[in-house]
This record gives sequence, structure tokens and C-alpha cells, in this order.
Amino acid sequence: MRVILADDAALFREALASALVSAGIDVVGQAADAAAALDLVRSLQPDVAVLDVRMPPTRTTEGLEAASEIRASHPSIGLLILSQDVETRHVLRLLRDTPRGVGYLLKDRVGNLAEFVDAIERVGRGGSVVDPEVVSTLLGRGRAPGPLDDLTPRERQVLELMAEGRSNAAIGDRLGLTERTVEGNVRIVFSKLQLEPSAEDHRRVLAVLTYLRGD
Amino acid sequence: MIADFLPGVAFLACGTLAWERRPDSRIGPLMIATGFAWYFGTYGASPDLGRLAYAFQGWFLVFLAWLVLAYPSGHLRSMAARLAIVSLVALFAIRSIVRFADFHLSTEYDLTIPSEIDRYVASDTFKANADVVFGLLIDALAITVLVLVVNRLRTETNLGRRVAGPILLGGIAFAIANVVDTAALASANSFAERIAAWSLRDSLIEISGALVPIGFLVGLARSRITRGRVADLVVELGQPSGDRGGSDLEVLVARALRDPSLRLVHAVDGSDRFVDGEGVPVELPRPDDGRRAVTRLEVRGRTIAALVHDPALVEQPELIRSVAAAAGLGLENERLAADVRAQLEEVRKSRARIVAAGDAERRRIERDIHDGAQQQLVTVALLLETARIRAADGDAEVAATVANAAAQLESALAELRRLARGLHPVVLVEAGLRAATEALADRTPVPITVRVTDERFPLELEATAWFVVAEAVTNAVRHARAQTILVAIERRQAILEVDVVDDGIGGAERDRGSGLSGLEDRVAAAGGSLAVRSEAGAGTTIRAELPCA
Repeated sequence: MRVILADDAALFREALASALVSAGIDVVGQAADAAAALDLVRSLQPDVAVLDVRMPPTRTTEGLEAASEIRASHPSIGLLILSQDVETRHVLRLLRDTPRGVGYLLKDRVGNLAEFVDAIERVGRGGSVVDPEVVSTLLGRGRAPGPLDDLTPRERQVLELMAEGRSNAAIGDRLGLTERTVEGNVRIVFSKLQLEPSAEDHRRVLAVLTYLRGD
Repeated sequence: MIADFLPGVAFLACGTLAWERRPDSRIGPLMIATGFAWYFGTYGASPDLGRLAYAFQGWFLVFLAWLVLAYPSGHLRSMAARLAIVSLVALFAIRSIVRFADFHLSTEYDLTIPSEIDRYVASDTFKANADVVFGLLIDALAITVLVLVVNRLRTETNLGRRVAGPILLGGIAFAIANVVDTAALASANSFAERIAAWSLRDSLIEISGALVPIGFLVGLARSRITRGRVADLVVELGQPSGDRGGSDLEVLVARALRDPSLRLVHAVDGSDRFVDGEGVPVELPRPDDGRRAVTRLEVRGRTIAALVHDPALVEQPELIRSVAAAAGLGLENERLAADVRAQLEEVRKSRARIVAAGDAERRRIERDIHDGAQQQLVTVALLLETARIRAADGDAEVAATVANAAAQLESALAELRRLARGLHPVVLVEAGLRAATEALADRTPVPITVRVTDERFPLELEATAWFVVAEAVTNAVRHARAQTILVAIERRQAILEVDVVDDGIGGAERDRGSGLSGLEDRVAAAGGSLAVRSEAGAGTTIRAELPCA
């Protein structure tokens, strides 16, 4: 898996690069801002670009803009966005703009390298990754009593993991269930929430998150 | 006799009154001079004084013409008037010299009777003819004065006509009487006819002579009526300017003095320069300018303004003094009020600056947390993770300690995120009120209906509106036990309306050091207003109205 890193904090970037290399990830390039990241994408054609949201010059949403540009010019490159804080509107915008291979994680997640490497690999394979905190925030959102209250604890767990972008197999591994059981749970969840069932991971992530946000 | 006596007394009395009222004006002395001159030609003719009396007979005409032309300012306005008076003085001086040299006292005549002078003159054809020549010249000048007076009466302002009119009319009557007299005298063919002409003249002059002081008194009486308006002015000044229909001081003073041409000019701090209401420099008329007069408004011995007005008003010194005093107070009042307004505005601005500075500081700290501390702690978390992986094969105790440290660090990071978010939401600056309110709804356990405009506003305004929303929502969740909350932000013309409505228990109070009083301060700093309706059991409605350009 060939990866480039874009973050203006040199110390963090270097540390992350060496940690990823030791975990078997091929870090082919590093950039300190969005423009340099775009140059690297064009010249190196990596599998995944890891982008910090806040980068110079304004330190607001440069990473997101760069993601849109990469998606437009190189649709096959996976994008993993790192953020200091969860901004749900950023997550939804990313998922809507990007049909596959996109992830949004809190920067803190580098504290669990195995999970982080897993996220990079999922994004590189075209899957979706959504930070658990995004999902828990949206689940905690105040709402009128509704179908969500009718879910069993198991179904709710399945919903959460589904919203994080995990496949049925991965959910099964997590919960100690067979893939078939997970499939059944997913079907029930979709039916209870009155959502169109969708086999494709990315589509169902977007559907669930949109539902949770109440849009 | 009585008829002859009275006009002189009237002049003396009025002159004394006028002099007392306006010691610095020429009008009083002129009237007194007229009064004395009245008697000088008539009663002054004792045997000892006969020659002088004869020589100076008729001088009161000079003073009278002067008085009428100079009334009420005391200054002769036009060159024509000055020429007429100078000519009159010269003519009478020549006549007096001729008469003085020519007078022969004769025991044939009883000179103690005034009209005996006339008879004495009449007995001598040459003297009579010389007198007729002087008389014609005098009449020519009298006609000139008459024309000047009529002209003044015609061109005078309403106010001037009101004050000077009666005295001018007296002057006209007097001039006509003199001309009629000379005409009668010239057409007399016999001594008897001349005697008759003289007595006609006496009567006419006596009657019309009395008219001038009567005119003065009438003018004076009229001006006293006007003084009642000072009281009105004081009452009007006592009211706030909004209640006077926006009339400014100048209009009020002009109305009180019945002088529409009146201008109020303001003294430039501590100097003798003046500016009008728009700040344009104004040159004050000179003291001898007959067309405009100046009255200074003084407060505590300092000239703060001046009234430039119709000179006719100087005839009413008490009136103008009272009005000036009242206007001075009004002006001082307005100045103080303007000072207070300016200071309030300054305080409001400085409060807004303090709030803006506070906001900027919160934004700075929020950035520092994200880009500084948080960044470094994330790096530490990464290094700890690397250490944990390397130690995994070794000492289990070390691995456990590292894992513990990583867990501590994780919660520290979460805490730091929460802190930065509370300081100043990034989303507000990035995406505005709607996005920020939706993000707030994401993190609030009570459902929030968001009806917020997409429009962007200046940073400080958005921050204030946000502060209202965040505080009201926090209260609704924490204290009011609300089931639903509505947040509506809408712009209506130049007002941004922020409404937060909940269905909680109500009873929110503004004082008790609650967040609401802080909210009120914050909204006031932005020049807005906050309304809280929170009856027990009926939910809470908080509405902030914030001015926006």
C-alpha cells in the first residue's frame, strides 16, 4: 500500500511516517500543505492520501478542498482525512462527494496503530471509514421518539459498526457472529428504520449517517 | 401753553427712561437733547437769554430728525441719513450764528412770551425774509428726512416696523407739520396772515411733536407684550428636544423674539470665532452695522454663542437679555446632553471593542490548543503507541504502564477537544450560524428544530448571536428540562432576530448571576436588546434583536 502524508506539523508527520513504515505501509511522500500534497499525488500516484483538515495558509479546511480536487482528478486514490475534532457536516460532505474509498478519523486514532493501518487499508481498497465518535455523536443527538428506540442492543451495535463503514464480515468478527447472522441483523435494522436496503458498504454508511442526522 | 409745554416734558421723560434702559445707546441722550431744545427756543427767551433763545430756536428739529432716523439702534444706517443730519446741523449752526449776531433786544416787545420772538422777527421784513430762506432750506431737509423715514418704514422688517413704526409715524407727522407751516408762511401777504400762519405752525408742531414720544411709549408697550414669550421659551426649553417637534433652539428663540431672520451661532471653544449649526464659520456683524445686531449668550462669564438679530430688538433690552439667558441655559443643556450622548456612545463602542477583543482572544486560544497542545499530545500518543508495540515482546509491566499512559492521554485529548469547542466553535467562523446551530443540534441530547438563515454576518455579530443560542440551549437542556427546542435566526431589515424557544418548565430568571444576565450584557454590547419570557410551566422564549447593517 503506497501512501502519502500531508500535515503541517513536521514532528507528528515524521513520527507517523516511521510508525506506518514499521507497520509495513509504504510511505512514498510527505507534504506540509495542500498544494504540495496535490503535487505528490500527481507525480507519485499513491494508493491512499492521508490529509490533515487544517493546513496552511488559513488552517481551516484546506485538507477537505485538497480531497475534492484529488477525487476529481484521480478517482481511484483513497482519501483518509484526519481532523482535530469531529465536524459532522465535513463527514457527510465527504461521503456525499466521494462514492468510494474515503475515510474521516480523529487525529487521536494514531494512538492505536493497528486500527489506523486497518483504516488506511480499507480506504485503499475502496471502503469507507467513519470515526466512532462521529457515529456516537450522531446517535446521541436529541430526537423525537422513533424507530431507533425499537432496535435491540445487538441491532444497535450492528448499526454503529455499519455506520463506521465496516463490512458484514468485520462486524461479525467484532461481535462474534457469523456473517449470515450479521446480514440478517442489517436487514432488520434497515427495515425498522424504513431505509432502502443496500448491499454496498459505502451507500449504506451514507444512508445510516444521513438518517441519524435527521436530514 | 400747556400744549406747548407737554411735548418737551414727554421727550425728557422718555429720554430719561430710554437712557436708563440702554445707557450705552444714543437714543436716550438724543431724546433728552430734543426735550431741552424744545424749551430752549421757546421758554428760554427771558430778557437775559433772549439772544441765545432766538439764536438756538428750532434746534430740537435737528435732534428730532436724528432721533427718528437713528431709532432704535442709535446708529444712522445709510449715507443719505448721515448726510441729512450733517446738513441739518450745519444749516442750524449757520442760522444760529446769523441770528446771534443780528439780535437786538428791544423793550418794545415782551420777550418773556415765546411767540413774541416771532412777532419781533415779523416786524422786520429783511429778517423775516432771511428766516423764510432758512425755513425753506430747513423744509427741504425736513422733506428729505421725511422721504428717508417713509423709506425706512417701507423697507423695515416686520419686527423693526413693529418697534420703530410708531416713532417713525410721529416723525412723519412732525415733518409734514413743518412743511405745511412754511407753505402757509410763504403764502402770507400781510402781517396778520403771518401771525395766523405762525399760530397754525405752533399748533401743528405742538401736536405732532407730542406724537414722537407717544410713539416711543407705544413701541415700548408693544415690546413688553412680547416679553410674555420668554416664559413660553423657558417652558419649551424645559422639554426634551424630541417633544418640541424637533424644533431646535434657533427656531424657538426666533419665535420668542418674533424675528425670523434671527441666527444662533456657536462660539468656537474659548475663542472669539463663531460657527453656525453646520459648523461653517460666521463673521459677526460690527457693532455699528445698522442692519444686524448681536447679542452674546454667556454662561458663567464665558461666551458660548451669539444671537445675530434684527437691530429693532435692541430697543427691548430686557427681552433680549431674558431670552439670551434662557437660550444660554438651553444651549448649555443641549451641550451637556450631547456630551453625555457622546460619552455613552464612546462607552458603548469601548464595550463592543472589549467584547470583540475577548472573542478574538478565545479564537486565538482555540487555535493555539488545536495547533499547539493538541498536535503535540497527538504526537506523544503516536510515540507511546510505537513504544508499546516495541515493548510488547519484552517486559509486560512496561507494556501495561505504556498502555495506561496512552489511555490517560486519550481522555486528556478528548477533554482538550471539548474545551476548544466551548471556547469558540470553528464551524461558526468557517460556515456561519446555520452550520454552527446544526453542529450544536448534533451534540445536544434534546431535539432542536433549526430554522436559521444561511446569510453570513460580521464576525462579532455572529459571535453574539451564537452566544445567545448556545447559552439559551444550554439552559433549556440543563435547567428547563425541555423536550424540544426551536432555534430561529432571521434577518428582518436591519435587525437580526435570534429566537430560542423551549417547552421546558420555565421560570428562568435574569438576575441571580445566571447566564441570562451575562447574555444581556453581551447583547447590549452589540447595541441590541434581549427579551426573556419564562413563566413557570409555560416554557422559555428568549429573543435577541441585534442591529446589523
